[in-house]
Amino acid sequence: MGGLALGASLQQHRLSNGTCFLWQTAYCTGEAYLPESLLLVLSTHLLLPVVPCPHASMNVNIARAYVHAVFTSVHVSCLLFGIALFLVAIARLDALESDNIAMELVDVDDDEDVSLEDEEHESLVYQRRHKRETRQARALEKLASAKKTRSFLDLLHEANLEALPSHVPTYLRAAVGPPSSSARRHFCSVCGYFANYTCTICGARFCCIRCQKIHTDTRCQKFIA
Amino acid sequence: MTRASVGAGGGGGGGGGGVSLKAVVLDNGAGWCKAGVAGSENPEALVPNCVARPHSGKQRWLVADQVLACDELQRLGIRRPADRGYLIASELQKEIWERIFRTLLKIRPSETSLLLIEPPFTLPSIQKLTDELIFEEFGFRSLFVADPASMTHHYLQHRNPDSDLARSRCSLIVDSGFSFTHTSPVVYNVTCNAAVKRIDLGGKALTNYLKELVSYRTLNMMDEQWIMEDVKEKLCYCSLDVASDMNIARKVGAENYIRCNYILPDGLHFKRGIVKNPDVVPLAYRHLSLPESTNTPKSQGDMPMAKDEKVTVPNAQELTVTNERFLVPEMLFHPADLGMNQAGIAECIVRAVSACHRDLQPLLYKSVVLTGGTTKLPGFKERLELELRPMVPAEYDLKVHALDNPIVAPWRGGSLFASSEEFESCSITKGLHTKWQHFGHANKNG
Ligand SMILES: Nc1ncnc2c1ncn2[C@@H]1O[C@H](COP(=O)(O)OP(=O)(O)OP(=O)(O)O)[C@@H](O)[C@H]1O
Ligand SMILES: [Mg+2]
Ligand SMILES: [Zn+2]
Ligand SMILES: [Zn+2]
Repeated sequence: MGGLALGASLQQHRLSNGTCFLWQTAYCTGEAYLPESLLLVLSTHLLLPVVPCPHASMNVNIARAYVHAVFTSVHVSCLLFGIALFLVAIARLDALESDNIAMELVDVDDDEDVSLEDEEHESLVYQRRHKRETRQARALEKLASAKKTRSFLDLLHEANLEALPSHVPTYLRAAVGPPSSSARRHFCSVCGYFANYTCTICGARFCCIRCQKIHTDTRCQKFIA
Repeated sequence: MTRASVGAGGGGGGGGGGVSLKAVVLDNGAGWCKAGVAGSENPEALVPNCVARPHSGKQRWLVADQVLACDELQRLGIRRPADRGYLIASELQKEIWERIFRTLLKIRPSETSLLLIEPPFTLPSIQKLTDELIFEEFGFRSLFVADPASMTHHYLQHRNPDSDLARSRCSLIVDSGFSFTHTSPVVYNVTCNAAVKRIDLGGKALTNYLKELVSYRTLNMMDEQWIMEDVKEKLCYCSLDVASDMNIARKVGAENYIRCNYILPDGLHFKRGIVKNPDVVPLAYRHLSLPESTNTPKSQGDMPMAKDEKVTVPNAQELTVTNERFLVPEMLFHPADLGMNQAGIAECIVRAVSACHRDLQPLLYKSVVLTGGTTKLPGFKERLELELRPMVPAEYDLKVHALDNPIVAPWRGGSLFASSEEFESCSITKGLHTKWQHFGHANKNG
């Protein structure tokens, strides 16, 4: 795969100040943030060095210029494009994996609240069940508000499956791989119909003048990809 | 690997004669847990594998079956113990299993054997996590781990002993559930791991894609995964002619029989979302012969039905979907359309089959079986046949079998196996497990 060779050649260009190339390309694609775990996977697939980026607020143009300056010997725009597409595809997959987790967390109830409800005349069974339920309620409260456990991609990275001999079937080797034909249909980003036109500013697709107008008026550049 | 796996035992299950030990079967899908006592036809517990809490709330977290009873679905916050199909948060999983085993099934783990159906290629670290949960936290008496493909195969073999599948003992199981889609050749009743292929797309990705499309085009539904899952299950279908459906979906007025309206739950008048024009829904795939169950969505019972377009409900918010209905499932057949560098489901099947010996290939194509909730999409089977036929050598028979209840098919296989006589001798007891763990440790250190 082209990606691997490309990554390998990049590795030699590892920046002396420890800035990660990947972070910068991530900025160039407009993704403000890529989770650490994804970077780890990228680094194993693309063999790219991954180190924390010291310039978390680097803006797109500066990053682009910076990369230009460092990789003068390579066709930077091609590289960027190739990796950017790869990153966008992965970021997409990540979006498709997300859950509804954005919500405010409520404080854990204090013990006092519970004991108030424990009236003496309640049966023992009820009390026991009640106790179990309160225990569970509290445990869940804690679990749900806890910082995310390690993701599957973290565990995958740790498992170091690449090191296994090539005849061993693994999670990585079971991936179906790219399609045999690169043919791709495009759908209008406004109405979903087959799209023949592309927005010159943001690359979004549309099918007709009416949809183009809606696009430029209300959503041009709202989303990437 | 210290785990027993299904297979070698061969065909016959004793059908439960004189089995002393109680066994429980758990298909721990990332979307839904299916759990029940071995030997039954259906799992007693079919519950979401998550905890959830209404957005407004001071309420406590709802667990598993409690989520199904929740009447405030808007912006429901969801936490799942699985990531990309694999168990990662064992503490959270423990709470859900606790609810299933103690409250719903009312079993005593120390007197029970467990048959666990776990996705293929579970990482060693996750296997360890799972084993600890089962033996240390719950203290099950013994454990047997199986994969969904061989269990589905097992079920079909028993249900239909005269089928090609049962006679050749070979099948190609397509399992498209919540997290991913696997195509697994089963050869002589054993899943051929080296040939299994996976697409990283399943029901969850479809729901999230629908959510994105709708949010971009009409109404912001980005926080509504739970509701959009229902919209998807009630309205999406696989098109057999995308170009023609696309043109119909573009029409205005009654000619556009693809457009459907869904009344969003508001927690007041509508505790559940409902399809406003249910008679219109099947028109888009009326030429298919469908199992009846697909046409009658389950949870509409006590809800007021807006049969007539003119019936208006105060403040009811409606969602209109048109071509999203078939564009979303298109994703499974052509992930490349979305810029994803993965082959579609038909090609995935071909690759899995091609990885097996030449002589097996015609047998596999003869028994392609669809399992997992996502294969319930109307038209899934027909669309797959349409895509697959040109890719399969003309001299081979191609038969795709849809199941009436694809969500519980692996569980039923597990239920059959766990009530057979071989089961006990196949599973690992707690003592043996501990011994092996020590052995593994010693090996690592020495
Ligand atoms: N009628 C339907 N139409 C479309 N999708 C459906 C339908 N019924 C269920 N589903 C989808 O099927 C998925 C659940 O299927 P299933 O229970 O087989 O998955 P799972 O075993 O929990 O997940 P996995 O095995 O991938 O971890 C959900 O994403 C659900 O939306
Ligand atoms: Mg499953
Ligand atoms: Zn358009
Ligand atoms: Zn634009």
